[in-house]
Amino acid sequence: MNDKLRALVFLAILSLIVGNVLAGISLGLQQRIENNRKLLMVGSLLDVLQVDGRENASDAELLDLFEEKLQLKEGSPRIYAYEEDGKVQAYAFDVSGRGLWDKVKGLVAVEEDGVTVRGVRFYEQNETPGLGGEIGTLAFVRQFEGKRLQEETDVLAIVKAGTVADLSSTQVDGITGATMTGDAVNVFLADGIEAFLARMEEMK
Amino acid sequence: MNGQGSDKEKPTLKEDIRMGRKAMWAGIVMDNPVFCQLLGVCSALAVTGKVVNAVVMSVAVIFVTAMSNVLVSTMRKAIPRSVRMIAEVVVIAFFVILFDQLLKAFWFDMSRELGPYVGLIITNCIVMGRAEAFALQNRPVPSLLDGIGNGLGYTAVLVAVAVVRELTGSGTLLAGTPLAIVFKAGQLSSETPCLLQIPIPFEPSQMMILAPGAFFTMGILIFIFRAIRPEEEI
Repeated sequence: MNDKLRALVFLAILSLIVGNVLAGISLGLQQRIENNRKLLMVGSLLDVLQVDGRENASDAELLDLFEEKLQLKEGSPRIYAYEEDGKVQAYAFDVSGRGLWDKVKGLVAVEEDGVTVRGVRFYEQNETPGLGGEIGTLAFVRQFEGKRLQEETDVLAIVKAGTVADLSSTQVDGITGATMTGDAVNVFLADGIEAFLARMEEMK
Repeated sequence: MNGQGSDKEKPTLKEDIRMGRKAMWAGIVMDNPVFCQLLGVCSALAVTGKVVNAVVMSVAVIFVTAMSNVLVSTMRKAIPRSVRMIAEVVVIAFFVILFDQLLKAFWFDMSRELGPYVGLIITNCIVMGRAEAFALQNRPVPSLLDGIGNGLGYTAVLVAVAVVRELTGSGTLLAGTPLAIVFKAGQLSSETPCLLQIPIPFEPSQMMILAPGAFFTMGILIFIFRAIRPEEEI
């Protein structure tokens, strides 16, 4: 009994000390980590909208560009309008949802017509490295450029290239070995696009 | 210092260091945790697509193994035997989370590259193995050196595997750093910083970046290491 009690007390004290030290450190670093997250999002947003001057910009300059060039239209979903000399160049909106393993956060940018895709980025994802994780690579997301969000009843989607005769204007070639990630992305991509188009309709 | 008797009970720092050095060398070569004991293979397969990733992961493992060894060794007389493993895991988890948080705060890109693998150091058998097998029986200084040695042994394997895989899989070395060497003819995109470009026509094999490449490379390296290692026991 005495031994058991001693073990319990020892573990309780150890956990208490370790837990408190970690909590303190975590609190101290929280601001920095949040900033890093925000910068990642801002960088991806400027990138996907192809905002002028984003290349070689420092972190502070990126945040400035974000403040200056982008108009945030609150609502659901939030829409970022990229304006140059008072004229809208492109729109961007969030597409986020469950991937195969974990939450995927992405952005879609469209031209000022509201339909033609300017770019897509998946900036936070934990899919299988080398397979589903390829959605994070530029080589994969470049395929979306010039595609259309919607064409009649078809919505932008990732497909297996072998199963369709030719990739239509709403289809991009999926990743071999990552069909499940592709399917998961398609679900929230379609939701995001639907919400975006409905909101654009409202704002007209 | 105080008397003849206490000198024997309390060995000097010099002896500690000598003993620790022996343990350190064992960890690096003769008793290499990955090659000889096949510990820590999971992460060694996972993060060796690029040399930079392998190096950062190794630094994390050296840090965690050394620090947890020291702390476990310091507390070794206070830890009740029945809960020693729980205590070890608590200590290891502490240092892993600490490193993970520091990486997230100060090198966010690398933290994203390594993904879940830094957190998974908690379950890396090398760390726990050293705490159990060495730190619980030895003083802090030898434990520190033992931890560093085993971490370095892990590093040697990771870097060796990563060099092979990055070379054959991407045709680069140390990509993502200013010291990058690129084995490719023709124009490079401006996005890739590069110290040296060696123009040899060479087609990298994507398989080497993916999981099979890791298994092949690791298997062949273990075979070579065991074949040339002097005097195998057992």
